[in-house]
Amino acid sequence: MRKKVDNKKIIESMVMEGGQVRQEFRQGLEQELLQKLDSKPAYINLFLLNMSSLIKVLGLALLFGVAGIFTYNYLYPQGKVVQISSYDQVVAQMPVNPNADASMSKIAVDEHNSISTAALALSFTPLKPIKVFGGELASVQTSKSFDGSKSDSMYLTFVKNGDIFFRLSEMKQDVADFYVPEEGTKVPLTFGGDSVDGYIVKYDKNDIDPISEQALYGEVLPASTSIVLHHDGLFIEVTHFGGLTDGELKELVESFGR
Amino acid sequence: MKGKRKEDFALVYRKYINGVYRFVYSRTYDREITEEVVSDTFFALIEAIEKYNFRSKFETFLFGIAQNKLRQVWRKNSQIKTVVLDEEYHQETPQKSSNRRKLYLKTVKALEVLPKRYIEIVTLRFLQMESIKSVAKKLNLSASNVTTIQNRAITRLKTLLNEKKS
Repeated sequence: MRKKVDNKKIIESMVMEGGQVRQEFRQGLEQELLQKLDSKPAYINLFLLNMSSLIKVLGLALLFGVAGIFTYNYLYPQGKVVQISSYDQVVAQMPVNPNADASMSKIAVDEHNSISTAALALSFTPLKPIKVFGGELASVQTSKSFDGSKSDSMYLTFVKNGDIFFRLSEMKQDVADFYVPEEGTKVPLTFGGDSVDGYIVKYDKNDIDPISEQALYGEVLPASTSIVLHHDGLFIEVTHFGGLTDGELKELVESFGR
Repeated sequence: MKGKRKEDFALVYRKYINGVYRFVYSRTYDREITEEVVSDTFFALIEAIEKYNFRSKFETFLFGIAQNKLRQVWRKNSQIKTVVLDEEYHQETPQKSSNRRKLYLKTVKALEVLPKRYIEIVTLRFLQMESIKSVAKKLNLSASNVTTIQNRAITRLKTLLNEKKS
């Protein structure tokens, strides 16, 4: 019987065989290193190392350079991400949000430590949590909280008895961009008066702090089970960290759409 | 004389930068940390190059520096996810290298049948070696969504590759 491949081997094969170094880094580091060399005495070893491989190295460098530039231009023809630059601009663009109540505003401001970022967080239309099974809203985060980019997503984290209970993630998304989880189990939902398909996804449990940057940027989700769906221009994912049955999770998700 | 020295160093740098970068990235999966470690490695090489005695392979000497720099970064920041150094890239056998190359070619082929967003994220994360933060910014997605889609893509790839094997 042949040995099955695992995630690590798949990722390693791509990185080691196909990975390309970012051109700006490659060129910048080369310049810095060459400047550093100015203060050093002559190196006979460098000369000896290079005697046999000049033509091959230049050919490879050119090939990687061209491949890197071609791939980047192919993937990103439209250029850079637009950033919101000033508080006035944020306020001017902020829509009225009936779902952002007073407690949510306070938590958002505390969380972001910046009025403009909190305003941006609240400008995104969140689903107002209805049924929370005894949990309390503890954290309002946006993609801007973590990476400074323009916010199009929001994470509401709820705690119960001092522990993380569940998280509601919302992201603006066209329905054409919604990806049905391949490993998910379809579950019919009533959401906002509509019949929609949700997908239950099970995860292996682990001890990562679910509101840490490590969890958001890491390779492993700290969740137990989640339900993913798309409704009215929003990608919605409700993830719980243990303590709910699938039926209760379904009830929780449906309550947000009422 | 200085010009010749720079030219010689540039050739060494261009020959090994990709290999060192991939070696470090495959242990961290984080571009920022990888760039820090790779920079430290080549600056250390400038200091150490005259100690190289040509008795072992130059790759062994250079990747040894990179591995020490990796350990230093991990000690400095215990929050960084560590990956067990179960094999030395520079000491791997031709058989291992050949198997990895075959798996890579099959993976790239399997990638073609995935949804466009899966392909974009896998390409950026593991072929362009971008961080999750950077990918999220470029694709205007949240970091947790990138992580989710990435995990689904790899799981799907694994299923496809194992189906083809059996």
